[in-house]
Amino acid sequence: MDTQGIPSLHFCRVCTSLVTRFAQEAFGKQYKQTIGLDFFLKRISLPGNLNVTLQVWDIGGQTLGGKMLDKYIYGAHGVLLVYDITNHQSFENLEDWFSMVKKANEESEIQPVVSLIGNKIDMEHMRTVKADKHQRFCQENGLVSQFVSAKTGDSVYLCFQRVAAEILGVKLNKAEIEQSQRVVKADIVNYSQDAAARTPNPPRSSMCVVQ
Amino acid sequence: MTSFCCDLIPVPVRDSHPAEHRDPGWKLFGKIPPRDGPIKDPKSIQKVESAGPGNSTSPRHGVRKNLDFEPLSTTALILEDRPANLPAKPAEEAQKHRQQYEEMVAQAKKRELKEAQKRRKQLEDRCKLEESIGTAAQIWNLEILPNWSTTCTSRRVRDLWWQGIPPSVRGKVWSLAVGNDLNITHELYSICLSRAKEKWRCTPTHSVEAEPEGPGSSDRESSLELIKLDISRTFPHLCIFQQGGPYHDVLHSILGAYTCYRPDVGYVQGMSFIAAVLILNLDTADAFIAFANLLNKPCQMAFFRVDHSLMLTYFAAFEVFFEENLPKLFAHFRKNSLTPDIYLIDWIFTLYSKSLPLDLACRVWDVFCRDSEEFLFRTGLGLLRLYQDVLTTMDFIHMAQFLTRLPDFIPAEQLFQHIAAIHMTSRNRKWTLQKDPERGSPVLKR
Repeated sequence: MDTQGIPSLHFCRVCTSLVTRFAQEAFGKQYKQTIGLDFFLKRISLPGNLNVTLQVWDIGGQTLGGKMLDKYIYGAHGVLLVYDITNHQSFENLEDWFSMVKKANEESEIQPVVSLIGNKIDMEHMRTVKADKHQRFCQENGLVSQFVSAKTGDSVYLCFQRVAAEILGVKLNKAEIEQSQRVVKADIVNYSQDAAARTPNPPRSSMCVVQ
Repeated sequence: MTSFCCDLIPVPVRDSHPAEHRDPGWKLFGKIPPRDGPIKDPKSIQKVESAGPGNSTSPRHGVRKNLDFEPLSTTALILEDRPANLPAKPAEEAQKHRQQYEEMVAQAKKRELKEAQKRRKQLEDRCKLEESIGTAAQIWNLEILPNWSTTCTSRRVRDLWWQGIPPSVRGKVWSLAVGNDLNITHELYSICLSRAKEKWRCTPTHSVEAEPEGPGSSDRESSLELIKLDISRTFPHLCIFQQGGPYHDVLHSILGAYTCYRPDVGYVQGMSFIAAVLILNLDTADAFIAFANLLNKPCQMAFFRVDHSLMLTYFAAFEVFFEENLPKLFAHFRKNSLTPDIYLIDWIFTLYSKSLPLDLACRVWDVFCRDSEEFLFRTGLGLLRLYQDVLTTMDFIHMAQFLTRLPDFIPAEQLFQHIAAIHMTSRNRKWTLQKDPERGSPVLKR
């Protein structure tokens, strides 16, 4: 999947809101349904003037499963497992997803870098998944641990950057991390009016969209 | 007796009243030739017109009369001499400026003339289109619909059908074509709806610590949640299905009623688009009947039950015709390992209503109702054929992106020409449904 010298990374599915936030730097207050797949291309830069093109396959749709999912996950360089910190079920489903990712890549030469991402940190007051539970899951399985808010854009760019750096074996120093942390701008969402904004993604639209 | 007199008297008075006021009233409609008014009226119109400021003598008057537009730039651009307190321009310069001015005005006039002609052409086209829709609606209403069972398969009706059903009869034709094999009545819809409403009442609106009682119940609950969420994401640009919009409750009712009618299928993403398109063309109960019957078709059942092996069978059949019709593009897709599931899932699940502009999607639905599932795959191939040239220049990710987000403007006539050019026969084999009712998968038959 390399194109003309620029390393191209193939990422797999994130919840839709996170991908749109990353790809368009906008959080759709009324974003569209993902029924099948969605594709995004994004260029990011890493230390050492390294430009990387990311191909993001958003597999947020409920209608995908089984054989097809295996096919989409196979050969991915990175996989982002996203759950909602205010929804415990979405976290529990990740275990199945993780084993599916491992199984899909059993015969692949490259093993994807997998990151566990807790979304909706802007809703910290409604958190139901404890942070140490998240950390334990990461340690046990060797996952890159991250927290983001797709709504405010907090750490979204960094989250893709960190996984890309990990894949390419590039080290990000603290200054660079701090710089990336504020790249994606936040916008104001009127909580009382917009039901869709209040629950930016359904519990399933994390990695667990498929039954 | 007296009241009768009183009634009589005002009549002539009322009648004579407008006659007195007619002359000033006509000024408003100066451009419309009076059809049955007195003959002297047009004269007074002319009088009013020519009394307008500086119109009668200007050479523009003639142009204006012909074209029905006022050249704005010529009135806005005025050539003036230098103010008196400054030395006057040399004659040569003044001459040059006048010439430049005239050129500019001439150019602006030319441009405006062109624009006016374009506008007139657009208007004419629109009138023509509206007229043809009107005539078609009349034919559908007076000739075809009353004798549906005998006319619906005739050559003439099929041709008319291909050109698109007029919006005023669209819902009716869809209903008739989809049929009601399930024998759903309005009463059954009410029963399903009240059951759904009962369920909504029993489900707490939002409980953070809700203990899942098992996979079944948590699933149903999340499907209720999902319906709510998806409704707001259905045609968001139309702003009529969202919370507070006029069709929000209708869409909610139909989807809810369906989960009670077919709990084994439940709600699956994509359904909200199908229900929404039906709501836009039919009354609620009839929309539900069409919705349930439409989803009961073999292809839709396979997809909405998320039966992956059957879906793959459909995709494989699609690829046979893809290769047959567009061998070059097919090879390009294969080289880039772009498989049909990547774009077809969206197209088939929503019957193109999410992917195509709504009016175009409705035209696809028209012929889908006539030709059933085969036409869905034919439309897909038509789209690939339409964009064949641009697709062959793209790599995997760009093709995938292009096909999952089609251009905003798609020329309808052109698309239908490309669809018409797709042949759904492959080496004498046709798209046929297997007769086995359990697994209505497509097979290619000789």
